[in-house]
Amino acid sequence: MTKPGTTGLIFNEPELWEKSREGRCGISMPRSDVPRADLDPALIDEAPELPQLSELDVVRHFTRLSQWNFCIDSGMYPLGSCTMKYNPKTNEVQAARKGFVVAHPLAGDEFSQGALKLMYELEQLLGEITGFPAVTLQPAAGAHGELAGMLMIHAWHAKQGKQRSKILIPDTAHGTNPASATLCGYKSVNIKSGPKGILDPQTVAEAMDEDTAGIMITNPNTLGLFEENIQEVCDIVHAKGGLVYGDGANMNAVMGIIKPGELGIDVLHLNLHKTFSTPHGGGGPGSGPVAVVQDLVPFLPVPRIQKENGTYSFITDCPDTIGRMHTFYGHFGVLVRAFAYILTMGGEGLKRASQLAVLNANYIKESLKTTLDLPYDRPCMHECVFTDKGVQKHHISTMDMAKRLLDYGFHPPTVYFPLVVDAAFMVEPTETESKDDIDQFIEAVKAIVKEAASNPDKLHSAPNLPKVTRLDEVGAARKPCLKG
Amino acid sequence: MTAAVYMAAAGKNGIREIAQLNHDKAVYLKNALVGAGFSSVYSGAFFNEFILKAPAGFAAKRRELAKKHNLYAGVPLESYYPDMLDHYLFCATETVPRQAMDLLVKEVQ
Repeated sequence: MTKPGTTGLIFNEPELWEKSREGRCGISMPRSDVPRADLDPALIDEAPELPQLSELDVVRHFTRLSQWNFCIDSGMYPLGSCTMKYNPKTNEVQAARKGFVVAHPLAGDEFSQGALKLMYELEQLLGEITGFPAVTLQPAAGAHGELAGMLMIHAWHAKQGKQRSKILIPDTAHGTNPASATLCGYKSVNIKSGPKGILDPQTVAEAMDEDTAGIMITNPNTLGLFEENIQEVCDIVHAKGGLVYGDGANMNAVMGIIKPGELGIDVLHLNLHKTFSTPHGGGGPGSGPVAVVQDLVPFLPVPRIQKENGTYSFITDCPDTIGRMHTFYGHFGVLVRAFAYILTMGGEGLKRASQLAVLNANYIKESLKTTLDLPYDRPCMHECVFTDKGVQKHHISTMDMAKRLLDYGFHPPTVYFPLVVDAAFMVEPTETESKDDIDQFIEAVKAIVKEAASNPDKLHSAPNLPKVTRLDEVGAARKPCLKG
Repeated sequence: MTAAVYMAAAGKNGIREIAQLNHDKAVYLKNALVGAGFSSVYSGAFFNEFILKAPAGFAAKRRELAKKHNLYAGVPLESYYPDMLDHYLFCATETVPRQAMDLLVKEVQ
């Protein structure tokens, strides 16, 4: 099979100002149809020093920059914990519809019924998928959703009349969890996962006390394993008066298979930009809706959306609310994509997506477990974690293998995360890769492991094909150069 | 990303011209609305947004304009500033044709 990575013509591109020529402008200006009205000269300064470019200059500039990047539309991007799956283009088309794009957030309820209906129904759909009675769409992304959820847990404890000081966080939780808890004033207590890579209820029982507000559990966890004891853990935490926060960033593995709200989770955030079809390369925007159990509904952020006699409106009169988490109503364009994705997939389609995500990860795990070290040899969910233990004797590291994968035409997997495994090599193929492409990836990893023994320098010097070869990451961290 | 492409395309002269068009249109709309019975609230310089006090009956007219002409005329300020009953924040940008502004003025007269 031909490996996708090869050499090719890559264009250099100067900064915009280098291409600037006096008098050029890349847009056609609307013709003026009203009299000119000069401002007081005292209020006017020189025009900003923006570059002066033709339309073609601009098109080439940004097209060339885009070609320096690896993207899901050009190759497999098995970045564990990030869910870099293919997002159907139809969802981009729906989000770009004029009625949504030009909707103004200050237009008022009566002029925004379509947008409000979409948001109201998306809340219902996400509630159905997760098993919770209510959802807020406000948080801007996953960690922001965590903060919203933890603020609600904090507010709930305050309402009970006694605030607590600690929160339990397993070593297999997402790294943002302790930060979100700390922002709410809680002290994080680290809980070690058991020998099977999942939580041992006994460990939770020993740590849980009446000064502990609850636990934050990522499920499936960052080892890609399902927390099989989740219901028992929830019972232990509830028995001591605590609440359970579920990090649903990995929901793409269990859609239609479990409902976290039925397992004992009290609050759960989702990453629409991972699971529900929003491209999240380039930094967003994301969206981190939060679902809650009935007891926490009064604490949801405002404004909330209500439906009365077929009319949708915002309500803000919620005395126990934690307040507003975002200007306006969240990242609306992402909500449109998620809504379109859920409707086009349907319940069965979402379940099938999760099943294929899990099947693909297990196929890779089984195919590579005699090639790479597999610390937890048990069925995984949507991602599998290897290490560099088997190639260390050739002085080859996880980083060397990851860099060499670029020469083969694959984006490297996540490396050195989760921290619970030394030198992790974490692969998440997602449901959207075909068996052919996954087989190519597997063959590439096998070839690289062979090279580790026969020609280790090829790995040490990798990558050789991308525009930029191995970067001095230590130098970049210690002496960052923040300008061109 | 969108902002970077926009600024690169508009450039030094384009962005200035767009700003001038914004101001031209806003001044035109403000003068026309004042001529149609709205009251100017502030006398200071403005760019492309301005506040006017509307004559009686504008709230209903505004709803009708949205339904009939897909024309969204001003943001009511009362919910943000309770003492600004009947005050609206208007805006005109380079994208608003004179025809639309003239239609608004004709309808509120």
